[in-house]
Amino acid sequence: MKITEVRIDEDRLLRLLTDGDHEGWSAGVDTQAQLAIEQTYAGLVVGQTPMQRERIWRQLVDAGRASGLGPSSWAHVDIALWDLLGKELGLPVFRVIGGFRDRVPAYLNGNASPDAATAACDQGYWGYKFPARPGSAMVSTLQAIRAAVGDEFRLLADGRRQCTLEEALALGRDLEGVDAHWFEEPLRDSDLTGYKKLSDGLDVPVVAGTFADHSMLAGTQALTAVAVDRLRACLPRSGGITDVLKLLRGAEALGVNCELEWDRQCGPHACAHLLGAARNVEMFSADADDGGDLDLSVVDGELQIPVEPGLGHRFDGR
Amino acid sequence: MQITKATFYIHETGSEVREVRFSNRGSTQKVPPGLSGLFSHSEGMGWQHDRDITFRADAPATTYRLQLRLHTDGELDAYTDWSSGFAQGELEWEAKKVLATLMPLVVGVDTCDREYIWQRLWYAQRFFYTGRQPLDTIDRMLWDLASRQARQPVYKLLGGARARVPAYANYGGVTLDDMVASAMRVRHNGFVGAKDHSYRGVQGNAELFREVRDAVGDDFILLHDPVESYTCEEAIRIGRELERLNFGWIEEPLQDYDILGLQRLCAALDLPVLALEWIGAIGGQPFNAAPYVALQATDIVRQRGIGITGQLKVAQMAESMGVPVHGGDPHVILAVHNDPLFEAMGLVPLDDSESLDCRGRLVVEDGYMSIVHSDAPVTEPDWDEVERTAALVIV
Repeated sequence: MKITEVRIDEDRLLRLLTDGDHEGWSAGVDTQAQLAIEQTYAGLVVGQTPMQRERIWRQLVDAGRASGLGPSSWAHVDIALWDLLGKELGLPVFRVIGGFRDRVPAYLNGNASPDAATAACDQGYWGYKFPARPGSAMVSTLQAIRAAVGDEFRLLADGRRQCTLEEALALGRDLEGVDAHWFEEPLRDSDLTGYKKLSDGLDVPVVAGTFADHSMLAGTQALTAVAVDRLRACLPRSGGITDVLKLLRGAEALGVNCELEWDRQCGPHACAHLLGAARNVEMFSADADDGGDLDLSVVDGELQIPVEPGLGHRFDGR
Repeated sequence: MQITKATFYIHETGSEVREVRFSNRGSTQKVPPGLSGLFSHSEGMGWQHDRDITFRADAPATTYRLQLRLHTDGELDAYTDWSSGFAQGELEWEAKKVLATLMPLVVGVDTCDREYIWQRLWYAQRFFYTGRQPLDTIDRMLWDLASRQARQPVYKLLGGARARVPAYANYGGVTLDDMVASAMRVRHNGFVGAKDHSYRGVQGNAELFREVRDAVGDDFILLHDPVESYTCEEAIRIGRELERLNFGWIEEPLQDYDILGLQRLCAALDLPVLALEWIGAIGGQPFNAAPYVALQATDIVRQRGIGITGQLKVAQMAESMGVPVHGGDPHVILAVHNDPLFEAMGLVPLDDSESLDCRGRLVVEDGYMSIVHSDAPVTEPDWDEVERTAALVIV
């Protein structure tokens, strides 16, 4: 079986067409990635088989570097190759890698409101993530949210890269005051010195790593510098399944979690399968409508990893 | 597809006269002790005088093989040889211990949930003090099953980064002349390089390597493995000589436990330092290998991951941190980019008369290692026959 054509449909679905029974898909290709795929990657992939996935990945990385492109540019091609491989083997992608679990605890994303946090708690989610801003007003908001959800529920604060180091330290102490579960990306991307000081100083785990250079090497170097308590990667911004899997393994060997995020255009499928294959990720990042449009179901606060062959995407008529 | 049940079979495999033999030539070529004081002999930790110690049984004894089968609810089962020995009763009770302690962690799990089983058996190593063998064996069984199901060799399921990898072989001998002739034979056999295990100390080794480099020429990889026989000071001195002679790496120069010494050595030398074979053999990779890389206490990681899954973790950890690995399973080596050389135990030519199947077969020739295979299925054991002929079935 060989890949015969690379096509991007109008609804932004990347399709690897083959001379066999299956196609490989990745959804939500943006115009930048589309340009990179058409100009740089498509010619590389045609004629190859997903049984050489790792070799192709290396070719993508090298071709990307030569064209000044980063991991997000080849991510969709890699994701589609995994989808194709899974379909070819008749296995869901997480079991091609080697399954760890078929359901994963999920937290819900929302705004900093006690009512929304309580609703997430009542729906069975394992945690609730909301934006946290520096300033005295935040303290009362944090206390109100904690009072509403009780002592056990996980509260995750997203710093949105808006803080100075001083502000992040102060906000981090406020978060410790309400026993927050983690403090995500308060500082500007790639500020390793700042992150080092912050994670040394704070008890609340500092989670960061979707930096400007999203490669796995940038990620592990943040870990070896002990600049973050948990790493963070985003599909497809940090690369495809191959890139992020390597990052997960590097973090695992260093005894650290690598929490995963996913791009809303691309969808959560690739992320879900990595969650199914790795031990060192705690929770799935869910939106309120995940059960509907995205064909993925969160049942009683747990994401059910798709068990159909490949990634488990469904697209009408294709 | 689920693992539904585990069965052990004990098979009689023949008979053998048991023997333990240790022989060592006396020191034909004494060298002065190095600073480490560990090695004073050209063959390592040998004795000053000839030794020949033999224990031999009076009569042949029956030999046995213990085989594990993991039944599944699919068409294929997973199976492997678990251990062997001369005492059926010992194998029987070893099997019962595994059935009691480990199989409850495996039975009922999907055959493709290798990561779950790997993680569970990883911790079982600690709780039951199993050592690395059960995890290693069971993980390989499951990859073998996946390979037979997909009719693809394991290295392709892992990503198939490369079709072949350059190979080197080891050389040795008692005298310098032996060593040079041995290195030349390796070169003559088409290998891209050769590695010694020489404990002659800094002066003796430097003299040896100058002669070897002279003989093999410049376009041949030379690697030095002193097997932890230097102090850090000695390793820096020999390292400089190796750099002049354009060696590829120095392997296990110090004890793996000497993290500060390794850091100092890595910082001092341009020559790559390869470590972690010994500490990795105990277990612990990738978790104890990653901090060495982070602390820059090794430039190349000796691959000692447990099972295929564990070895892939080690390779990917190293890749994600920008360093190479060396060694391990040929399937893993072919599946990754960052394992530059294959250590061959000798030539393994392609035998055309043997039929190939999807598992594939190791071939080492023309300076390369590869795994040749076909998409033919593997002939499955006749389990009824196995049940009937087994000396004992343990469930």
